[in-house]
Amino acid sequence: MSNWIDFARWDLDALAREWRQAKPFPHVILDGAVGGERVRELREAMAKEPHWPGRGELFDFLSSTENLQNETLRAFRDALSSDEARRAIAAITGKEVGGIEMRSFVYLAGHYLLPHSDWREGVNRSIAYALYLTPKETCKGGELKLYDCAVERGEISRAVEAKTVEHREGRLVLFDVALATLHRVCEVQSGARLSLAGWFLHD
Amino acid sequence: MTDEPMVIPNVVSPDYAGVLRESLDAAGYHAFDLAQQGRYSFNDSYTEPELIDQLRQMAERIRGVQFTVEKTRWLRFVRGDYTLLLSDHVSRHPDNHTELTLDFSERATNEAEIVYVRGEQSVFIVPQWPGQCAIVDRPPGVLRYERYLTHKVGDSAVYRLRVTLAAANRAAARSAAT
Repeated sequence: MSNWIDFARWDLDALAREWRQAKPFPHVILDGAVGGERVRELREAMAKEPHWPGRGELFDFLSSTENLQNETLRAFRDALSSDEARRAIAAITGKEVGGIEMRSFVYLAGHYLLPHSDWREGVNRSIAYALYLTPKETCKGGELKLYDCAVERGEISRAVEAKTVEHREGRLVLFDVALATLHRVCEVQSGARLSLAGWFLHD
Repeated sequence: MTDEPMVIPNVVSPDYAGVLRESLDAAGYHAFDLAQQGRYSFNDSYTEPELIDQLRQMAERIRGVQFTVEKTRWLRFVRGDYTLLLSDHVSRHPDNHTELTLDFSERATNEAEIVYVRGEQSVFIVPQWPGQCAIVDRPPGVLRYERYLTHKVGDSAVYRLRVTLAAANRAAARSAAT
């Protein structure tokens, strides 16, 4: 058992079914994936990690670098990329995954991530994930929205908001990376949205 | 004369901007809402020939070349609106051209900047400021996006007139070829 996540508790067959049947595209939501005391530890670790303002076409937020400085955050990243974790991810998603990329994110009021898909030609992102650490009822906005997309001639031709995922403390979300897995993080209206997020990579 | 991108302040007065907003609101808008490209309101049929001609002449004095007007678009952005590079990529004039953007909003929002990029590099950023007009040359590699308007803008709206100008000799050559 990992110190951070008890993968043995996961019903992999049921999660694999959930992944395959999920709409608008394959995903699973694991509530309580990380327990309360561990969530607090990670939150304290985030507070010690340097975060930098990031602003671009799609986003405005604060994030760490991929080269995490804090030992606790690095330990969590290692747990999520352990053999046990990768076996569980492969069993759920049907995708063999190798390494992992992780950054720590803080969205303050007015921060957002506009609709996009994480898929890029020649980039080896396989599964996206986010672990939410926002304390209960301290943040308004910041939901994850998933879009139902139609694709014509290799381009998204239509996109409709199809599912809203709240960023509950201890919740782990996994979702597929493909051309049409369009998603966004809604603008935070007040408070701070905290998460550790990134991708499982294929070799 | 210069071919540098620039912003010219006080091109229209607050009073005239108010009249323009009122006329445009009365004319109405189409909604553009494709999540992966942007969200905003626009009107491609409304026209103010005198204003557009004055803007064209201003651009000619600055650039030192004669222009023809290829396209005009009136835009309105409110909280939650934005445009992304993909939108520009699929809709932009394919050739070299010069782009004017007149801001006739009532207030500055400190948001909704127009960002011109080449690859991943920003080449020019136009702040949102009432009365100003930006003039930017756009070779095929230069794309544009407009930053998201957050809840902090409240009920403010950003009004823009975008004019696509082609050098007159280029437009004439294209017309002769067709």
